Amino acid sequence: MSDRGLDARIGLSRGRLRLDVSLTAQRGEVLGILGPNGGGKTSTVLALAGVLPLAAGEVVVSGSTWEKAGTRRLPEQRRVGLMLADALLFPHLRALDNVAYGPRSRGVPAKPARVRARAELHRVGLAEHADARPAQLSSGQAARVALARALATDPDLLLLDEPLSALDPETRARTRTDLARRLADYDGVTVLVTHDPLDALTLADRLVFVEGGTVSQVGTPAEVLREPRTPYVATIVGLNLYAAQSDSRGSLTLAGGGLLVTADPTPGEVWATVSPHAVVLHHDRPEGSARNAWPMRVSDVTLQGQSARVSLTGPLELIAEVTLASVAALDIRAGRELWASVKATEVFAYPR
Amino acid sequence: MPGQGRRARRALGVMGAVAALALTGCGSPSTSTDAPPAGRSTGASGGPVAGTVTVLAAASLTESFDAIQAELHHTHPALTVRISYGSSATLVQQVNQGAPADVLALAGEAAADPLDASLVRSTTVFASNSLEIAVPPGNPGHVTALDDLARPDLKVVLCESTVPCGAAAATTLEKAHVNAHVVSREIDVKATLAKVSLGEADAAVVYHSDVVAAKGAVRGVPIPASVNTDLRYPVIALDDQPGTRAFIDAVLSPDGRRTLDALGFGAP
Amino acid sequence: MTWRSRLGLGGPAAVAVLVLVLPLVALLLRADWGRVLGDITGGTGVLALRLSLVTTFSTALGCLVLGTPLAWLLARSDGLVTRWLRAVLTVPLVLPPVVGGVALLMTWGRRGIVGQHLTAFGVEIPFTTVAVVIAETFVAMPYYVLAVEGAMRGLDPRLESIARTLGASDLRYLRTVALPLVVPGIASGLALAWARALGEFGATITFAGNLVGTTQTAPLAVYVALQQDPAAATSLSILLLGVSVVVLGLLRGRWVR
Repeated sequence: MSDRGLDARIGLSRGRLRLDVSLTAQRGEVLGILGPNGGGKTSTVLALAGVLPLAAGEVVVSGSTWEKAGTRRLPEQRRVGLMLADALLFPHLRALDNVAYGPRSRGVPAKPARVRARAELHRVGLAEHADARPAQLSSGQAARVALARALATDPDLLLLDEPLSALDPETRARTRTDLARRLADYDGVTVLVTHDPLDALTLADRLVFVEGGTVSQVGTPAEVLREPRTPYVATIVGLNLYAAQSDSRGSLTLAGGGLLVTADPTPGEVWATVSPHAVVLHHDRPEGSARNAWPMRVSDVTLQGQSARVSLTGPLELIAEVTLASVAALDIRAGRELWASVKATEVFAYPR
Repeated sequence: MPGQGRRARRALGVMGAVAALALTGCGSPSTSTDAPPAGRSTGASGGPVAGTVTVLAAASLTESFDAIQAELHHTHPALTVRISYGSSATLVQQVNQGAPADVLALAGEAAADPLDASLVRSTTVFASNSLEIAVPPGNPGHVTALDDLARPDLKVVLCESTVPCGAAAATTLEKAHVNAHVVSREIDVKATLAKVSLGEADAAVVYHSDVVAAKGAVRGVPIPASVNTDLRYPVIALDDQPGTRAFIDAVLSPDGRRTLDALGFGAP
Repeated sequence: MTWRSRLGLGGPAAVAVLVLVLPLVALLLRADWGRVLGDITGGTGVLALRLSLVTTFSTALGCLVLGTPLAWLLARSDGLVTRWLRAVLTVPLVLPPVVGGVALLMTWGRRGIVGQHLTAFGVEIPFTTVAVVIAETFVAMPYYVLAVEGAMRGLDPRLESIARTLGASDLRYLRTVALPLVVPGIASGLALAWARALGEFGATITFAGNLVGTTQTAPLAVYVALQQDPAAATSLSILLLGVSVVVLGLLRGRWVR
């Protein structure tokens, strides 16, 4: 139990949202929280920070109780670090004083606090920007100062709420790498809220999906990628997901209508997934071995780099990912009618 | 075209009259009848007079002249009387600058000194006033004589020296060799009396008519005639219109005298 | 801007400027410049101006010390009590100053609800310089509180969350983050309050009275002078105008953009 870094059950109401979420993590672990907007991610973080009071539940971090039925430590009494989408540096303080603010607030004398702040800035590669005002920093640098500031108080719990979402894509990739490197050295629990699958998959050890105020799925990134259990999770990991009834020979009757065949039967109530890459599009009804083939209508096409995501409606809803060459060759555009096929070996089923 | 020039001059005159009315301030002039249209009086002397007479009067005459205006309405139903009240100094300035007034009634003959003499047709003193010490009901400062005003434990308020009651009070205090313990010089007699009636000040030096007008909110303590400074109120005719004469006659009539007397103004 | 919008906006804007500036121009044009210096240095003008400066800066200080905490509490709460309190605080803005003066007498006067108890200790406030400061504070404080509260509400509430998680108590957050960030708001609040106090007339003359050197501030002196010597009143007004332009210029130039 000594490694237990976070043990929390968060119950609260905020507006129309009723939040009831349990979170556990070992020390050194990075917990990724994902979910649709308004689902309770940020409320969870604010409750852990002590900014929002709990209506029910408890928060225990590294063996000390931060909140429990009636007793509540104020944010400043918790060993917690917080970083939000906007760096929110104190605009009137130099980078160094921003980072030293936490130690100073916790009673460290000015000089040692500055030494510590310098060290933290060094660890995020900004030693030479110590004297810069926030307005003189780039967005990526500001985010790193904010991270240094959050870690300068040696928190037991580090809360990162969409830490990269305000950055432009290029800065974001670089800052993500910096963040990963810095978190590797950190031995407390990190709770990382994000809606970016890439952040979640590259930074988190475990993922918690929060939808409509409750936890809808928990697992390692690999588990979640392999077996999504809600449409939202499937969207995040980029898979077509169907609730289905499977017979012993691998014939799947989909809950939303339509039929699928899998090469690997799992009888009973199942989830079935199809990767968009496994969907093949044709002008005419395909000949040959494909056991899953349907006449479809294109409802939407979006470009993503060198490929295109094609949304299809027909006997079932399906998203296909095809090359730009195929888009041109098949003249794919909204309203077009064509055939889609998926090999049975590309359909995976697992119990619901 | 000479006609055009005259019309233009008349238009300017009307504008001047409007501006003067706006200047007189203190709300709109009160009007005793709504009958005759604007224009000069038409009646012959002796009988009832019609037309309009415009009166500028010192603010301290408000109650008395309102009453005289009401009486006049009975004797001259067709005469429209418009009275505008203000500080004497302001009224004289207005007349000098061409305000279309027929009658000017001032608090103190000295107030008429700056008046352009060529505008004056006749001057008659119609009332007088004498100073009094005003104290709050119950007289908490136990003020019995002018000498008391020098007591340091007493708070005395006077009118500012630019206001008639202030100038008169200064003269009287000097005559009596009293160095009053003054805590404030108020900008008009109403403010002076308010400080006393609220009990913030123990005594003020004001006119007897002001004490009467305060209707019990303050009490008067007399000041001996030997040191008192009387104020004589002149009523000045600025033209010879019948309405002008009718108004001045009403002020000087026995009825007018009774009204002034009841409001604390002494005989001329 | 098209000529149409230039005309549509420029016209009213020009009228606005005229409405504000013409009276000041008139004051300057009509001044008897040969006399101005003598009027200002001689007589009661200097005493009145000195009293005005002493009392208005005391008022500004009072607003700073008392109004800042109030603005802070108002900015941080949205309860029913707060909303009512805010409405009540703005009443002095619309109250005719003379009525304010009467209300002050009813509070601090000899028979006032507070004053009667002070009188028992030999403390009497009306007709003193303290009364002038109270009257000025009464009319000026709302301007300060509303300006500063607005600035404080403009702060990103997430800054406080960050500061709190870093270990700062709410007082430390106020001192080290919120106050430094609302300095421009405080400066413009002070400028507004100071200017309002400098022009204050009605509440002062009603509550504090009018005595040279003790309670006769510059606006009172101007009013009294106007009754017998309009030229002296103009000179004093010009002095008042000059002082306010200098002080507001310094205050605004330094902190307010």
